[in-house]
Amino acid sequence: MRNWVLRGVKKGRVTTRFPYGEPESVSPWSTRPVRTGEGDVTCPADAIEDGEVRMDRCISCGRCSGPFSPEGKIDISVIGRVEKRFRKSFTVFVIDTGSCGACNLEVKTLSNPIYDAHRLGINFTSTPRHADALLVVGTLAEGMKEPLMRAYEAMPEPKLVMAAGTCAISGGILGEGVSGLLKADVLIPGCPPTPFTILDALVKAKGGP
Amino acid sequence: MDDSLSAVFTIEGEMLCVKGHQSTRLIPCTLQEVSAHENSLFLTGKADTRERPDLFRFNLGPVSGGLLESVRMDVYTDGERMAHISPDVLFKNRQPAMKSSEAPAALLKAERINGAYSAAFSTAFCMAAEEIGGIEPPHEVKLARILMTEVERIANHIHVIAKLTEGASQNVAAQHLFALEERTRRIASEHFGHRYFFGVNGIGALERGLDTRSLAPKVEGVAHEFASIWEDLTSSRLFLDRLQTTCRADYEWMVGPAVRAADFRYDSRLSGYLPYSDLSFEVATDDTGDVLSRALVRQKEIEISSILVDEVCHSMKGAARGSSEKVRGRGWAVKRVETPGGDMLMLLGLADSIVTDFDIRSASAANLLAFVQSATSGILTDFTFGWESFGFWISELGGYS
Repeated sequence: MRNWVLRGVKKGRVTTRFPYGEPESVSPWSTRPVRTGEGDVTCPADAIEDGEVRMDRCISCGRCSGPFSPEGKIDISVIGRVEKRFRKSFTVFVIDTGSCGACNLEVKTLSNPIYDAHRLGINFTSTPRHADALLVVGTLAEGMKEPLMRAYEAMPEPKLVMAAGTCAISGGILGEGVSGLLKADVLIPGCPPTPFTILDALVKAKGGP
Repeated sequence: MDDSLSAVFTIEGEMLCVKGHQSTRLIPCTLQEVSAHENSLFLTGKADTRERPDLFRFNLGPVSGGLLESVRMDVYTDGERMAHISPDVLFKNRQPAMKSSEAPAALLKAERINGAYSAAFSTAFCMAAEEIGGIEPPHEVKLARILMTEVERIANHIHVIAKLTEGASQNVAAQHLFALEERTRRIASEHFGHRYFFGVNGIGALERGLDTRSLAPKVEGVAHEFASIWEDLTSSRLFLDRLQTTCRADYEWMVGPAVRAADFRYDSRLSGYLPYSDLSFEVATDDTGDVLSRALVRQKEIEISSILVDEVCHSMKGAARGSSEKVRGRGWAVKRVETPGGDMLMLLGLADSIVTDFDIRSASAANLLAFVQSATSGILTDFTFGWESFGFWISELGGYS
């Protein structure tokens, strides 16, 4: 027991200053690629339109590197609705409708001491009955359509739907997104979106830190 | 839902029958393939339809707290003893369309079959495509693949042990380990441009230039901190008691840390698909086959992987960016790669760079039956430890179109 206390004291603060400060780590190719040079690019996800990258389709593969470079900004989410009633306490139910597992890991990461989403009033629940928001990860697999709708219907009002990751938003290169069944209020792009990007979106959706 | 997990791999006698679009071939079959084949109907939850009125059934999932992915488990209990477990893994089966894709595009899909093991999956895909196209990748590319797969192994092994620690309610230790996992992901991001190695591997090349100069000391730092946490963790009798003798599995047909924890020296890295023989690679084993043994094997492998990363970094200064080569010719290849969960077999068929056949036998497919058989001798609260100790990923169980 004493060892754990000493270890904690020796390590000092590991928790990020974000959202009150800048993110300490940015995964370059998980941010928006922007054109910085000449040359043609064939995007395997058809995410480039009129010289700009559509983040709802971008799979963070970096195949556009050369003419394009990562912008390095984590605030790439689309916040379609803000629910200020959740500002002090925001409870999120995560549902995997067909992911590769990377988005699941990034969401799980938010509970570790480095991100510590709980300090911002964000908590994760294992039942939709206690949830303010439904966070969908993965493509929409046929077998998960019914569990997804049952989870959504079990949630109390008001409720937000958030699609995290390119698979959930548009299906990416692997299938169809969640939009076939539910309209997502918040889109969190990236393949997978980094923990900072997810945290940024969660904080904005609840009306601030 | 499709009931079949594998349309391509079947067992005929003692041979693995691989039915490709272009031809059918029989290759020598390992115990692991037999196991995965026998599992394939069982995994869908449809093999076992017996009524059990004398047992109490817990329905877990497909969406349930504690499980990271969507999976359904029907756990039949007699008192507190688990009498039978019937899993159904196909709820989130995505059936990604691999066939008719160009090889470089299919590579991006392959590395997204299991995001946690993407370096291993993309390495298997690239090696298969290179064999078909007669492409010999530069030595630096092979070394970079070792770097990626070993850093990936470290991150995943820390994750598994963190989940076991969390299950044992050693919450302070668990949070130290989850923070360490995050540190490893950040190292991957800094040196490979992506936390999960997406988009790095290419056919005959690397799609992204690598700077490996400061990688080794950072990975060594992670291994060192892990060793220190592990030392404190294993001084807790509470933790050891929870893991020891729990879910003992000593089946030779398992793969990965699970089979090595049962004292079988089976590791596909020994086959030399990458130049491991030039490095001081050794196979970590333990002899009890319980949850603690599987954790001990992972603990040893974190140290071994750190040494491998150090040796590779000293023999390469970096790797230049290239781009995937066009695969000419037709044919198919079967490649075996050691993912963090165990060895994975991938079949790839190409005709002038277009995918004609694709299938995998994943580590999770080979090991799931071992979990069920080992857990049914235990009590309900052993479930978490058994499940997490095998390091299952449901995403790598499923079919492909």
